[in-house]
Amino acid sequence: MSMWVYIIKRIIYSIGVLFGVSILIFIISNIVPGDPARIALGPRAPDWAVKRLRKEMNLDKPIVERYFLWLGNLLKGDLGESLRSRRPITKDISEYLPASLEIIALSAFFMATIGINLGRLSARFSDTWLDGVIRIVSYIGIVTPAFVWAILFALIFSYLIPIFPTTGRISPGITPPPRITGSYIIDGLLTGNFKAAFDTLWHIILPALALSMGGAAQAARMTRASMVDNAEKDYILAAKAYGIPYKLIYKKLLLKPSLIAPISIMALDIAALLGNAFLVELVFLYPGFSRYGVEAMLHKDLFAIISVVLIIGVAYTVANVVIDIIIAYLDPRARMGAEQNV
Amino acid sequence: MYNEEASMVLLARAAQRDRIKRAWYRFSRHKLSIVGLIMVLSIVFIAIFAPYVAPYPEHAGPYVDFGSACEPPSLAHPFGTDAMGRDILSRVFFAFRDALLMGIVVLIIVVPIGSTVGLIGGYFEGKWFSTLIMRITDVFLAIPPLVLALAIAALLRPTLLNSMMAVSVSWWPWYARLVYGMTISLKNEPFVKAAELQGMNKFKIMFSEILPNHLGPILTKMTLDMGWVILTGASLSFVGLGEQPPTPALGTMVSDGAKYLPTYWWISVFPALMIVVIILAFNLLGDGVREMLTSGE
Repeated sequence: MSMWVYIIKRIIYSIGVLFGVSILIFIISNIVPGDPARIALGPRAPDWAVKRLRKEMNLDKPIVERYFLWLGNLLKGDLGESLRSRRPITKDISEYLPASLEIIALSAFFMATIGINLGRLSARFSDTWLDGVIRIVSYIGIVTPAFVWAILFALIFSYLIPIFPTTGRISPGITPPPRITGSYIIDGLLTGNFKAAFDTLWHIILPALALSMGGAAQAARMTRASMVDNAEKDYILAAKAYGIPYKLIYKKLLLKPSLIAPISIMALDIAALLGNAFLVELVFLYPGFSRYGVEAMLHKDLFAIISVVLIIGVAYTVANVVIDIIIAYLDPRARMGAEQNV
Repeated sequence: MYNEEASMVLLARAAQRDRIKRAWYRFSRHKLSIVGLIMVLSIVFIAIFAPYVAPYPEHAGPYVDFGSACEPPSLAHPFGTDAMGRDILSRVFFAFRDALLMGIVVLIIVVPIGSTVGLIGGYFEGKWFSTLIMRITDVFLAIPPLVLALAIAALLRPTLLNSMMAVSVSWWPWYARLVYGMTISLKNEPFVKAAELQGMNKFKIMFSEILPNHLGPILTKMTLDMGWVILTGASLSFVGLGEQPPTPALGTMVSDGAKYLPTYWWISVFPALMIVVIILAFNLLGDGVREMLTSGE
């Protein structure tokens, strides 16, 4: 019962944070030096055009009023109009976001499978050469930024050994499936266009792998550390003393509690993927959300920048709530702690 | 009397020497910390003496020699040359300067601000202004630092100073969070209560009683963060929102070089690897610092 109270409190708090995020982003968007309308139209635009755009953007109104106008539109799902493409930003983003979510989903999958399995292996053979190799590899994984992995992977696996395509989302010869969800993979599977679905998957393997390396390495280290740590605890010793087979101890008693820490770290990493994807999508010339964001930033497309940051903020905050709930579910201690706090 | 005082001073000095010796022992127990220290010192040395260390110092500027463009790594150009015919090794050496400057300036801005916010938030926990500033911190933490820094940098003009500002704005909350947590766990300790009962000024308690206990974790985080701040700076210039050419910046070199993949792979790969080397160096050093400050106490 009080678990629900905790969850509801957590959600209400996050809504407050998001409200704060909207204020923060709005303030930041107002520090832009110079006139956004002038920047959007270029130096040679006539004064009357700039004036009209200023009126359109509500720039002639006081800042507080502008904030509430913007927030009102936001709550209606209207993010404004891109100053560059003159299209509604919501429309732009609904086209680009699914492409990025495909990468992120695959990346999260890689992160979990590679990270946890490497960590398990490392803990199982702790203090052997295999453990040493895995520890060095995961240290390198942590200190190497995703875009460096992206460049190295592109170089090795698509140029040197041409297994994967170098750039883009789908091969030029293949027609993308009709839009249902916006994800080529899901749409392809739904419409029976398996060729397109597979081709898209083939395109996103390298970017997803590059994105997942840091998180996977971190997860491997955490898994190893907490498994080695837990393996020496009394309850495991007791189980061993009772003569319970090691395989059973490992599966039932050791693995589950050891995964709480890596899962919570990984969940944060997954939530941050949308931000980290920025540079990776650039390397692979991938038409995703992050690339849309970078284009907007390079062209000082004010409302598009605000929208991109806001969406990432919302995604990150929602993910954090979900993580807290999952942890509360997984870890009785956290659950009890939460009950006491409420 | 005089002799006693002098011997006290000598004893204190000996004790301090002893402490330094022990700290060094704890640091140097792990060979990788030493590797990290040597790497960081080399990077700093190269950055300071770039004009003397770099084989072609004039290549750091707007130098063009299309005759020797895109030459592969060789003895004359260990990292090869870029599309303008400039020596990449020399440009990397010069890029270390702004990279380190970025890290140092951002940390100098961020650490005092973040720590002060965290101290006030933690020590006055429960008061309305403490709640307010920690909620503001949470709002900043709700946006990944890279994205926030990119957005701010995008709205400002692309210069080194503006990138530093952009990264600073997105970085201080992490120190606020760290110090906040540590302050809460300390504020009910007897030594703090004793200072309160003596009527010590609240700010004096915060800064001279509580803060010194946090210096270890703060120092550790600063060492580790040097690499990550430099990476964020490189990411800004990678996107094109950092320093502008012809100033050599690691991120710009990587993204420019990426256009010439795979034929002229060295143009982007070597600067990219140098970014990894910087992060690795500060991470190894940071692990050593943590070891030095936490173990054996």
